[in-house]
Amino acid sequence: MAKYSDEHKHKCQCKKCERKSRQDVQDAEEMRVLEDMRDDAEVLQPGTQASIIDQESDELVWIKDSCNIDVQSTDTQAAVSLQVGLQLAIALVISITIGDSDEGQTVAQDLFQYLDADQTNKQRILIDNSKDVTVTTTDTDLSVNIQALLEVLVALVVRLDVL
Amino acid sequence: MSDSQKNPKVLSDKIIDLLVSNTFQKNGVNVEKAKQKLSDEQKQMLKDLVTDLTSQVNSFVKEQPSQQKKPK
Repeated sequence: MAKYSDEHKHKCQCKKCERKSRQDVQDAEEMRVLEDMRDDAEVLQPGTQASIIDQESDELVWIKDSCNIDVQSTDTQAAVSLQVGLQLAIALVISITIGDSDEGQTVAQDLFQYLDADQTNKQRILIDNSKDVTVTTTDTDLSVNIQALLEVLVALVVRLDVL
Repeated sequence: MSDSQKNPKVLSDKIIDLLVSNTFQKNGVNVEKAKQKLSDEQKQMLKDLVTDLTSQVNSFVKEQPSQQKKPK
C-alpha cells in the first residue's frame, strides 16, 4: 500500500507537514531495505497485511434464589498466557536457528501475521429459582487460536529436525 | 457462543507446513544452514520446550470439558 508517491511533495512548512514528510522519507527507506532483503519478490506489500479480528470478552453469571449451583468457566487469563508462551517459543526457535538478524525478524513477523486474531467470548448465565444446576463453559475460540499456534510451532521444529 | 469440541486439529498439517515453508522461501532462509546452527543441547532444550507447551495446550483444551463430570 504505497500511500505516498514520489511526486507528493509538501510545500507547507508547518510542523505537522514537516513531520509527515520526514515520515515519508523513513517509509521509503524501509521499503528499499525490504526490497533488498527479498530480491526475488515480485509483489512487495509493506505494512500491515493482517486482517485483525477483534472480539471482546464479556462474562456475567447471575444466580438468584437458588441452591446447589455449580458454575465452572474457563480461565481466560491462563489461555492468554499460554498464547504468549507459544508466541515467545516461536520467536525463540526462529532467533536461535536463523539468528536475531533482520531476516529472522521478518520471518517471525510473517508467521504471526497469519495468526493475528483476538477471539474471545461473550456469555451471560442466568440461574433463577433453581436447584442442582451444573454449568460449564469453555472459551473455545481461544483454545482454537492456541492450538493453531502450537501447530505452527511444532511444524517449525519438525522442519528444523528438532523433533 | 460456539460449543464446538469437534476437531482436535484446528488446521491440517499440510496447511501449516505450507505456511512455514512458504515463509522460509519468501524470506530466502536456508533451512539446512539453520539446522547446522543448532547444537545438540539446544535441540534437546527446544524439544523439552515444545513437549511442555504441547502438554499444556492439550490439558487446557481437553481437560476443560471433562471437569464437568466431576461429582459435587
